[in-house]
Amino acid sequence: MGDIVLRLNNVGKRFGKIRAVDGFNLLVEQGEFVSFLGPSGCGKTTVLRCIAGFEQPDEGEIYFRERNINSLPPEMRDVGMVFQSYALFPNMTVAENIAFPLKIKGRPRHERQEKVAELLNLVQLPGLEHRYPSQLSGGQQQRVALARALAKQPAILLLDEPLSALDAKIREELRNEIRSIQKKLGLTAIYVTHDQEEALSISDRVVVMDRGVIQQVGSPIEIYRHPKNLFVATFVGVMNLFPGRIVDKGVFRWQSSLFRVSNAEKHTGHQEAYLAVRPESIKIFSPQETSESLPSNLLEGVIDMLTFLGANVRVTVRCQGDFILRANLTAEAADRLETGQQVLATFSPESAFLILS
Amino acid sequence: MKHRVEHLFLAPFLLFLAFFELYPLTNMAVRSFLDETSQAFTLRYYLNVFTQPHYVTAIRNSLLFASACSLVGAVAGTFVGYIAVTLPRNQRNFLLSLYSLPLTLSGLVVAFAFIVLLGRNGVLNLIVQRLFSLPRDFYFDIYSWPGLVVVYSFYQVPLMTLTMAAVFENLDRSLLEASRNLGAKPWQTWRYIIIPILAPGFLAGLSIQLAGMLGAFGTVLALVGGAKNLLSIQIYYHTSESTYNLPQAAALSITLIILIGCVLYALSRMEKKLRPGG
Amino acid sequence: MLKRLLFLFLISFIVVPLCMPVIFSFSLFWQDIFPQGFTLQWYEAILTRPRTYSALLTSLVVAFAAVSITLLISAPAAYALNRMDTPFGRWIRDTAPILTLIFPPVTVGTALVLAFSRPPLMLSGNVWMVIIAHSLIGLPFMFRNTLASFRTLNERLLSEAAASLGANLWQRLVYVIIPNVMPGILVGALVVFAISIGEFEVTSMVAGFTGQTLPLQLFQQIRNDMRIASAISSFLVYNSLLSFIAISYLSAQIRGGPDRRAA
Ligand SMILES: Nc1ncnc2c1ncn2[C@@H]1O[C@H](COP(=O)(O)OP(=O)(O)OP(=O)(O)O)[C@@H](O)[C@H]1O
Ligand SMILES: [Mg+2]
Repeated sequence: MGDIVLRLNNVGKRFGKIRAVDGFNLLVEQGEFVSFLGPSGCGKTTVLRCIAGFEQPDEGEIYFRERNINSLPPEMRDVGMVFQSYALFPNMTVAENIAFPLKIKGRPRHERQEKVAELLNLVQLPGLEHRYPSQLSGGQQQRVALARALAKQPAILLLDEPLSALDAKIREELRNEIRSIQKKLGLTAIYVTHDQEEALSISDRVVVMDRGVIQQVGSPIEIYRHPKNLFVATFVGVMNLFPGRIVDKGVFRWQSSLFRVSNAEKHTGHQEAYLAVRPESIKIFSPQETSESLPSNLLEGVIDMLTFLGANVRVTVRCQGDFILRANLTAEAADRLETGQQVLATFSPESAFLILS
Repeated sequence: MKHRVEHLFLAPFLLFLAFFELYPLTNMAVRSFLDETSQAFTLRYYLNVFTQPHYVTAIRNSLLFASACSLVGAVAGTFVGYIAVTLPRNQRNFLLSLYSLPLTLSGLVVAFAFIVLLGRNGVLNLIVQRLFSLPRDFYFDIYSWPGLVVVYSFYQVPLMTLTMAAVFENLDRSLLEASRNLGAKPWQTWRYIIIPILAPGFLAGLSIQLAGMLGAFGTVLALVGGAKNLLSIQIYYHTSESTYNLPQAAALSITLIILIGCVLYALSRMEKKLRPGG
Repeated sequence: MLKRLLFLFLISFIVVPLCMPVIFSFSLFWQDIFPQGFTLQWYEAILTRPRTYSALLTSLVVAFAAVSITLLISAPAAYALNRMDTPFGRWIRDTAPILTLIFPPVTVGTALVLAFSRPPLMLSGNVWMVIIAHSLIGLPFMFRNTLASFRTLNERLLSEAAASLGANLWQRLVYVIIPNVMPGILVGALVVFAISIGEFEVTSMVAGFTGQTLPLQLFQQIRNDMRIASAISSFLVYNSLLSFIAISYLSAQIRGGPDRRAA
C-alpha cells in the first residue's frame, strides 16, 4: 500500500462543445478499489477510456507509475478492461477468448491452457472452455470477460458498468465476487457505475462525479455520512434537506423553527445553508406519546404515505409549509402509524449536518 | 495520427470512384455541350432531346413504362411482403431468400425464360389455347407494353417484397395492440397507425423501383430490340450501335440522370414529410 | 389451405420461369407444350464452340477480377468509414450504396466509352474496360455488405477489447476483425460474382472484340439458336442458384453466430 499506480493530473476532454471531463485529478494506490459514481453522461466512461488509451485527453496528463502515458497506444498500456457489453470475440471459444492476451504475448500452448483452467476456476466457470460466447448467459459472458482481462495480468483493471446488463440478483452475486477476486489477487481496480449501492458496497474509495467534474472523493462512509455538497447529498442515498440559514454557532433556522446541530462550530455568521438529515436518523411519535422530556429539533406534521420496503417502512410526513419529510422506521415502529395521522418528528443534533448553499 | 490510417484505407475506394465514375460522368456532362467536330459550345444536343419527336416520345415512354412497372411491383410487392411476414419462420426465410435471386440474375436469362414461357409459342400460351380451345392467334403478347410490364414484374415484385417485408417485420405489434386497447376500430388502426408507419418504407421502395426502371433496358432489348422506344434504349443505340452519336448519347444520359435525380428527390421529400417528426 | 396455395404460387412465380431454360437445355427439341428427348449436346456446344468457350473463360476471369477489385477497395474503406463519424464519412456511407441507382449502368457505360475511347486513355473495347465496368456496378453491393458486417459485428468495440488485451492493429485484423467479417464479405463477393457473370448491358457497350463475355454470346444466340441460348441461360441460372444457396447458408451463420458451426 501507499504505492501510487495511477495519477491523473488535471485531465480534461471535450467532444465538440460538450465538456465531458474537466479538471480531473486523482491518485490511485496499489491494491485499491476505486469507484466512479455519477449520473448518466457525467463523463465516467470518458475518464476510463482516457486511462485505457481509447481517448486522448485534450488537457492534463496521465501518469502510470510516474511515467507519462498520454501518447502510449492502448495495446501498450498495462491495463485490462471489462466492457459493459462484454465484447467477447464471437469467433472464439471461451478458452480462446481467455487465452487471447497470452497468445498475443506469444506464450506457449501448455501455459495458456493452464492459465485458462486456473482463471475459469477463479470465475467459477470450470468446464466451459469449448463453448462459444453466444452459448452463454449474460452473467457467464461477463465472468469470461473478467477472466480474459485478468489473463493479461494488468497492473490496473478497469470495469465500465460491467453488471448493468444483468438482473438484480446476479448483479449482487457477481459484484461481491469481483470484489473478492480483486482482494485475493491484490489488484488495483477502477469500477464505473451509476448504481450508488454498488459503489458504496464494494469500494475502498468512491469518486462522485457530475457534469464532468469531481464532486467528492472519499470512503463510502465519508461519502454517505458527510456529503460535501448538495449534489452528493441528494445523489447518494436519500436526504432530507431543510433550506434556511445559520443564525448562531450550531443553531439553524428553518421557517419559524430553530434546530440544533453538533459538529458545526466552523460555521458561524448568518449564512444561507441547508440542514441535512438522513431518513434513518428521524424518529416519529404521536403527540399522545410525548413524555415529560420533549426533545429539541421537533417538527409537526401529518402522515402522507406509508411505503412498505421490506425490513423498513418509509414514512412520508407533510410538515409546515408543505415540506415533505422522509423517515425510515422499522416495521414494528411503523405498525402503530397510519396515513392522515398527526405526528411529531425529531432528530438528534449529532445526526444532522450543514451544507452551505 | 489515428485518422491518417483511416484516410489511407479510404483512399483506394475514393480514387477508384473518382477516376472511373466521377471523371467519366463529368467528362460526359462537358462533352454533351460540345459540338463533336468543332468542339465549340452548343446546346444542339439538348435541343434535340426536347424537340425531336422520337426523343420526346422516348422520354414519355420511359416515364410511363417505369411508372407502370413500379406501380405493379410496389402494390404486388407490398402484398407479398405482408404475406411473407405472416408465414412460419422457415417458410418466410425461404421465400425471402428466393426473392433475392432475381436481383443478381441476368436480364437475358429472364428474357429467354419468358420467351419460352409466354412467347408466341410459349408453353403457357399453348396450354391456355388448348384448354379453352382458343384460336391460334389468341395469345398473351410479351412483346407488347403490358407484356413487358409482366416480364419486369419478375424483378420488381421481389425487390419490393424484400423492402416491405423488412418494414412489416419492424412494425411493432404492441402499437397495434395499444391502438385497439385505446378503442380504435380496425380501419382507424390502419388509417392512423399502420399506413403512416408503412408509408416512408413504401416510398423508399417505390423510389428504388422507379429509379431502377428508368435506366433498365437489357430485357427489353433482348425481347424486342429497338422496337420499343425508351430513353435508355436510345442511349444504348447512340453509344454502341448503328446510330452511333456519342455527344447525343451524352445529352440523353444527362437527361436521364436528371430525370432520376428529380424522381428520387421528390420521393425523398415526400418520405421526409411523412416520417414522424420530419 | 388458401395460404399454402398462395405460398406455392409465390414460390412458382420465381421458380417456374427459372425452370424454362433448364428444361429447354436438356431437351432435344421443345416446340409444343411438352419437350422431347434428352440430351447434353447443347452444354457440350458451349465447351466445343471456340467463341462460346472463350466467352466463358472471359466471363470467369472478369468476374474473379471484379470480385477482387471491389473486395480490395471496399473492405478497407468500410473499416475506415465505420469509425469515421464526420459528416463526410456519413455522406459516403449513405451515398456509395445507392450509386448504381443514381447513375444507372447505361449512363455509366456511355460515360466510360466517352472517357476512355481515345488516347491517352484507350481502355474501351478490351477486357480491362469490362472488368472496370463490372467493378463499378458491383461496388455498391460489395460496399453495402462489408459495411453492414462491420456494423453488426460492432467492430469498434471488439477492436478496443482486443487492443486493451495487448493486440496491435495487425493482430486485431488477423485474429478478430477478419474472421468475424468474413461471412459478410463472402456474401458481398458472391453477389458481385453473380452480377458480373450475368451482366450484359454495360458489357455490350464497352466490350469490343477482346471483351466478349458469355452474356454477349447469349444475346446473339437468343436470335440465332435457342438451344445454345438455353444452355448458356441455364449455366447462368445454376450460377445464381449456387450463390443463392451459399448466401442463404452464410446469412444463417451471420444471424446464428458461430455456435451453430460448432453445434
Ligand atoms: N465519442 C463521443 N462523441 C461525442 N460526445 C461524446 C462521445 N463520448 C461521450 N460523449 C459525451 O460526453 C459526455 C460524457 O459521456 P460518458 O460516456 O463519459 O458518460 P457516462 O458517465 O459514462 O454515462 P453513462 O452512465 O450513460 O455511461 C456525454 O455528454 C456524452 O454525450
Ligand atoms: Mg458510460
